[in-house]
Amino acid sequence: MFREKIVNRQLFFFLFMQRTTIVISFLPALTSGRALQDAWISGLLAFFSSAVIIFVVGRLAVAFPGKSIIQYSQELLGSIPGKLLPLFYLFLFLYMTATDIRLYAEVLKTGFLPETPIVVIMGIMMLTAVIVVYAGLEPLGRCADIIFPVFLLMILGSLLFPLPQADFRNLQPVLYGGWSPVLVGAITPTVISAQYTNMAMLVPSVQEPQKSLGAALWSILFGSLVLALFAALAVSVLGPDEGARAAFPVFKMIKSIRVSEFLERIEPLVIFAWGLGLFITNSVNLYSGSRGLSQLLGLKDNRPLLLPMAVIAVTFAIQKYRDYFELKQFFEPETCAPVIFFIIFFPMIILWGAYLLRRPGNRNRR
Amino acid sequence: MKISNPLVPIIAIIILISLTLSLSGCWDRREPDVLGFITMAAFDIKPDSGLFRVIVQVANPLGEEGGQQEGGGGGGKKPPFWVVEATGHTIYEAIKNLEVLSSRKLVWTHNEAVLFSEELSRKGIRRVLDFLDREREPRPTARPFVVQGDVRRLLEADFPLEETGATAVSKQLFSIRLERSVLPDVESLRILFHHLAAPGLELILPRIAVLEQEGKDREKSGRINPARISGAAVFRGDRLVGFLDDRETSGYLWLKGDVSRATLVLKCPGSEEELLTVEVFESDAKLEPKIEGDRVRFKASIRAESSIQEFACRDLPLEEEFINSLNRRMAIVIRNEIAMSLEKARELEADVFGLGNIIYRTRPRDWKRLEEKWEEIFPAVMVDIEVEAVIRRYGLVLEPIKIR
Repeated sequence: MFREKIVNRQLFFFLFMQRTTIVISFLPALTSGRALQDAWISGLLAFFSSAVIIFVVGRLAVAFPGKSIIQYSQELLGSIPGKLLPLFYLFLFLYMTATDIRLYAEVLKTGFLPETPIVVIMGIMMLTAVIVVYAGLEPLGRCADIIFPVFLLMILGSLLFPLPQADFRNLQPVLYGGWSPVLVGAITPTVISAQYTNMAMLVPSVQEPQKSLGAALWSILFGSLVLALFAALAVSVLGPDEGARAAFPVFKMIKSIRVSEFLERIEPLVIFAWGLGLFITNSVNLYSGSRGLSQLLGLKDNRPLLLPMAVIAVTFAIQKYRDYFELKQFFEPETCAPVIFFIIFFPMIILWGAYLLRRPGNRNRR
Repeated sequence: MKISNPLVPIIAIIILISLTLSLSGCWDRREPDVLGFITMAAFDIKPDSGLFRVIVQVANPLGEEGGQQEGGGGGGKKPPFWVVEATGHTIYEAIKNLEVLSSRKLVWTHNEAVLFSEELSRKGIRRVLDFLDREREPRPTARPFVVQGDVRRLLEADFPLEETGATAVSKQLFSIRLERSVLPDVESLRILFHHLAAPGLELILPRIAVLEQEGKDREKSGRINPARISGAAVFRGDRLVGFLDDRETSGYLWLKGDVSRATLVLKCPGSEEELLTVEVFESDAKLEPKIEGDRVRFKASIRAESSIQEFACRDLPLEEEFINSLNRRMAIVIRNEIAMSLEKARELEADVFGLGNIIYRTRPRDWKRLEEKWEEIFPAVMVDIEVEAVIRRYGLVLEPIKIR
């Protein structure tokens, strides 16, 4: 069967854009928890905890070259439990897609398109994802190649333009509330690293899978830096309280600045970067989900699944969150941490257990 | 990958054609001809009923163009803006009540200035601010002011050099901030929101005094600019408690290190009648707290660099000794201005300088202890002022004109 291949560069682009898109949406660490002006420290700390998730997910993917989590879990656990366990992951892909599009739709509806039905915004986002995943993983990789430079420029622009208006004294005092709010603030950015479970489906298609772990770690490093920079900047421009109170702090920050007497209203920069990043995020999630489901069901092709899955994702996005308040509540550390950690770590512990027991070294000792 | 199904091109064409449907617009399409752009908004409260009063200035596209010759059309031209007001129990209700009175949908995206009347400011501006913060249309770049006098008159007034009052007020603030040091540094709603929330810092806003214009004659070249923008309104929490005059505002800016240009009039050395003028073009301030228990002292070091702008003293050579004596005089003037503003702030019990904020930022441990009592401590805070003022240059000539 024909196999599509991507390279590690494209994997890095996928993962970095996924990460950064959610960072510029509601700026976790600043809006979740009470770290206030220390949110940038939380952002940096999240790098270490996210690296653990990446290692847990990525290391197994690398250990079984060419096999996705659906396939190697059956190899490790046998047919029936091996098929049940990845359901957690398939659910996670759906969950992430639904949450991402709902977030984007909410900001568009609040900020720009109050009259447009939310289903339309979400539906169009999903439709573009369906089209590109229908074309396949390689075209998706090339899309990322093209979008990444534009995305990066927009991110850099939205980091540089507010600089003249930033008052970095707002970052003082450091650690006013001690370490505990900072640590709590690092939880949500870590939870968002659930996106890295996509590696379990993507790494099998990467040309040099042994280097994928490195690509993922670089992406979380840069992603965490972007989060820390945006958190520091939003606090410097808006002030810690105003930044933490905002529903969409990066958007609010860009909206609040007057670059000069002649240049203001530069928020399309953020919204476009967000739209482009979300396109990649959704497509990757949809690819992983549909690919996983087709392997689970033993289908040759994942394409027939795309449209139904997109419809389910949009429906789920509406059903899951009653209102923006509930969505926001979900991202509070105490709500999201248990849910996501259970979904990521529960299957992973079992798989790792089986993997370690089966290693040739262990077998010899027995 | 080869396309095998012959239906695929047909489906693709159908999709492409149907995409053109989306070009016709979306739900949120708004043509400019149904919109009325608010350029300036004023908020007031009715003293008898307690209802909020919102007055807006809307740009009028049918208005008279600037620089056009007169005599075109007999029926009298429309002014370039329109002023309308409404009341309501909440700000948002009042704003929606405006819609009933307007033929166009009013949009806030181009609002340049936000005016708070003195009565409203004394009652508290919190409830107005939430609308400006929450709504998607108003931008946090708008410039806030406190207006002394009749707000409606200011909105209706005709500014000699500008089409609309909003541009006038916002340009005036911009140029005054560059040329003089009589306006506080809170130049946008963004800074206002931040200052309200920051610990150990009270809000201070630019003040507009409404001047009376005699008659409505637009042709008269001697007519008065209806707004005098100078001085500051001091808040405690969200309530106005008093005003700083021009020199007190200057003193505030010295302590903040935010003076861009300040004009100082000094007496000529050795003469009581003759005066000379220096202009400060760079300044810088450093505030260091010294805390012993509940007693707080600040050491303020201010540095100012200036140039001589006007020098008509008779028989005085520009020598080192003379410049030194001018430097000392300058330092005294600056110190006096600072002392005046400190005195006023103590009297109003409002820490507009953010002295508490400096403690919070640089000595967080002490702040945890002082925070609760700061309102009582602040009026007793002593500030030791050290001013280093230097004259750097003196224009295109050295000595003044010699008249035989």
